[in-house]
Amino acid sequence: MTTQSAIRNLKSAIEGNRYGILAAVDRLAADCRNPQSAIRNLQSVRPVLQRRWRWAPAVAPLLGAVLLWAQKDIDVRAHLERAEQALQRSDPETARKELQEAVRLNPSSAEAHARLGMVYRKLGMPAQAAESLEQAVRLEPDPRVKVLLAFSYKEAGRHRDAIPLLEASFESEQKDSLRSVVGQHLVECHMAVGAPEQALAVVQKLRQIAPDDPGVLYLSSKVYLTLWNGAFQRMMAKAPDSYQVHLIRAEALEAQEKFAEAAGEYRQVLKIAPQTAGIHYRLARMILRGGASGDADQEALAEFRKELETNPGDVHAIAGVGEIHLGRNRLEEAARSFQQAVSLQPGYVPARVGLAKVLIAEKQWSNALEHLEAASKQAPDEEAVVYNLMIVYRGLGRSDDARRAFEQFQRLKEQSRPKVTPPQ
Amino acid sequence: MIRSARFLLLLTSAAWWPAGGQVEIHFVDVAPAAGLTVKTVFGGEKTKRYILETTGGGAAFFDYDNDGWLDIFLVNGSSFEGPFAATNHLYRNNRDRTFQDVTARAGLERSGWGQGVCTGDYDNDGDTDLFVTYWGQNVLHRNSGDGTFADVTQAAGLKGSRVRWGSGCAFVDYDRDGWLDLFVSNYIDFDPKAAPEPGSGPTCLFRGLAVNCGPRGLKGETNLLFHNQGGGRFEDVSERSGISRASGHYGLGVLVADFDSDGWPDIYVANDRSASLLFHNRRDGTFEEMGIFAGCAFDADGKATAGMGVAAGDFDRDGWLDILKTNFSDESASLYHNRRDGLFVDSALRWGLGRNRKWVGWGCGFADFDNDRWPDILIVNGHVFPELDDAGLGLSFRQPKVLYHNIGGERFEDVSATGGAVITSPASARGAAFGDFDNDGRLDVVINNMHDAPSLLHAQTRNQNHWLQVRLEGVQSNRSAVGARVACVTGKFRQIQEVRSGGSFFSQDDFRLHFGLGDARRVDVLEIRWPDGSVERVVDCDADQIISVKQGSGIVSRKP
Repeated sequence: MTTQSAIRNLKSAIEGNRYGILAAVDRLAADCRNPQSAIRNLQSVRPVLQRRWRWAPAVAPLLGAVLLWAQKDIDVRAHLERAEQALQRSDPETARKELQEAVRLNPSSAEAHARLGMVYRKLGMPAQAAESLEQAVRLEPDPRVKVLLAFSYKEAGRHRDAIPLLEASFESEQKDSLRSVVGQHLVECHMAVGAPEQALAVVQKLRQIAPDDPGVLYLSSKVYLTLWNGAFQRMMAKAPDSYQVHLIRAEALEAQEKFAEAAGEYRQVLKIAPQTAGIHYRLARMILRGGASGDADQEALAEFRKELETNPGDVHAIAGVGEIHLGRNRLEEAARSFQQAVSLQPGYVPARVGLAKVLIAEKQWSNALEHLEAASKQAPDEEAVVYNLMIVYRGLGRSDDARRAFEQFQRLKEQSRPKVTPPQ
Repeated sequence: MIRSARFLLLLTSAAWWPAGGQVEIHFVDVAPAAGLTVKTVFGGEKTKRYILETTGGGAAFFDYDNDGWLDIFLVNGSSFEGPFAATNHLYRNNRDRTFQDVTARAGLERSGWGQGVCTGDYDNDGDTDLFVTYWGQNVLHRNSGDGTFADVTQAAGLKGSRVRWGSGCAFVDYDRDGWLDLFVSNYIDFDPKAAPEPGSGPTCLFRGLAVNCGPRGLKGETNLLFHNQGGGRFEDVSERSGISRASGHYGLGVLVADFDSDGWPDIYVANDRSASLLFHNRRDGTFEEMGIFAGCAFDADGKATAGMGVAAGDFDRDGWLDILKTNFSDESASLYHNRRDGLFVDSALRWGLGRNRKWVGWGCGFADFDNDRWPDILIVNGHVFPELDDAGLGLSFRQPKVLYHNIGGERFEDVSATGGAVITSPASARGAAFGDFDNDGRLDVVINNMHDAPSLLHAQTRNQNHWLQVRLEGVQSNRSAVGARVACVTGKFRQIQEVRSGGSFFSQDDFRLHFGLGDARRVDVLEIRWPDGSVERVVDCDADQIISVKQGSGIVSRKP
């Protein structure tokens, strides 16, 4: 029985009376959060009833019930307060006992159940926590308590039960920080039940909400890796001799910076499928990055050229040739390659920057500026573009422009500075 | 013993002779014959758990006993596994191409995680003093003038309040008051107890291999500037001068030079994995850091490289000092060409330094090895991860050196292949100092090798080119003449060099300036701009000798 319903009953019982009683009852209503005051009010009402109405004795049991309830409420409040104090002094065990007593006294108190559920979570008893929180939600379906229930389900290994609650909260929560926390739990639940695709959908939303959150970044990696592994296992099972198996291995090795091994896999790709576009280019990059050979750039140059035999319009390979010429101080050849790439694809920024570097080496500041300005339209925040713009403006004596480019470059550097915390 | 060593030296020297008419720069390692045989200890030889074990030590060519012959100082390290008692070494030049270990007699026995070395006569008493950086406490050794040194760190006010990782250093008279001040770079705020384990994070992996962590992910440092107050005392002016404003960097090699030719020394610091720093001297006791705007903080794409060693030289003889900086593997060395206004353009590719990207570079220098008037380049290399030797990545801990010949100021040509076995053979080189230890008019190099005995590269290049070496002594200026700029004019050719403390990687070159003169038998004019700004001219000076010039007194001695 709640305070409000007790009051409603009492009001109904003494309907018609307009003297004193209702005023007292209204006071009771106002004091419904303060049982002691309510009792005082009811006691003040009793003599009036006995004196002036003969049917008053009939009301007495009802008043008694209200008084009994009010006394119980006082006790429950006391337990809740003691539980709170126990938690404040990091004594969850005592808190648990107090809350269990509160629940026993008033099994209809959603608050007591919810609090007990929270204490069970604190005590590492997720199954019990879930039970209490379920009770709380049944009595009063508070969305925050539902989230806590979902967390308890998850902690108890009941991921499937947690998912609908977390999904509902993830969709309805307005505050990004809370939404991010709920979303991360949801991803973990989807992963736990073997549904990485559903997890991916949530991860993509999370990356919009909290793109730099380490938890989100970690889960993104985990989801992608799981999906990658699944696809790879399937490929190994269904097409073990395909060039794609070597291709994916090469890409994985490349990501791990195992360039020599990646180059070996790209060579395997070329053995199986020599006409595959882009592989000679990738092989050249691995040779350059691995740097294991004394003549790495010559080897890479040969691969870039092979790429161009099958794919003559590949601006990446053309610019790669340009970079090698530039590295060997063959400025004319480098310029020719970069120019060819720019002609084929005017918006290809690396070729514009490469050409600008050649022109800077020859102190042709105005010509370099032309290419950097074109590159800047495509990639205004590309560090290499902004940095070389600063160099060129200096060369042209345009100090104000150089200073502005310098400031922009510094801003870009600041934005891209890795926020690394030392591993513990 | 010495006699047999001399015989071996003669034998190795005679073994090389140019086959045809073409002059080739060529070196022979004479370290064993010269008596430089003590191994440098620096952490684990097979694995390195901490980054502290990777940097290695510096080397110095300096004349500690004022006998006109270069002596050698080599910094030693330590180990977490023992032996712990490795000491730095001072080798006295016997004037016959051999050296004698005088460490104990000189009072320089000291163990610890030694790093860099720089020299300068900080008390202007005529004897060159020695400063050594450590992870721990840096040490100032005052030269007593009787063959011994005294640790005066505390008395000089250089005692630190906490453990820091001192790395590069240089004496510099930044306020031109005639007393050498001191600049010290710091690498990482490092505590082995708190350092992460190899492989424990993304900054602890190299191509998938678990290696020691850093420098990324570890806390960077600030640099230090100490003002010489006279009376043997220094005052920390890092904050007041603006030096410590640049924080969170991983400072290594230090290079002092007057980059904007205004007569005041500027300071360049090669930083590992972060923007390198150029402290422009504002002539009022303060500095403005302007590395990025000056174009010498990053590579040509605006990306930070892992700077290690540094050198200054006017490689195209335009009258302005350029910067050479060595970097990590996958990065070519940086060659910052001075635009004749103290601003730079990375011109490594333009001048032909882009091809060698496989090596981890450390000590470096501009030096006219064939005396043709054009400064050449030597870069010494060695990887930081010994674990690579068994990793099958095609990379190794020990690496060959790279020797570039300057082709008329137009380009550098890689002539490593013909530079001698000591150039092409792999070594774990770190500090490298340049100087003519046998006074034969050809520049030699001493190299501190990690886990190995040092190398002493004796120049064997034979041609008819002439040379001149100039030793300067300041009077109103600091006595070492650190910061003096000399222009050597022969006919239409004008070369400039500066007397420099520190430089290369943690190392100290000979204070004497070496000019190759080509076919010129005389120097028309030596124009000396002393550190206090005064200018002195010496005219008509014969080639092929070592001259000493005292400020205000002209040439005071000659050695043929």
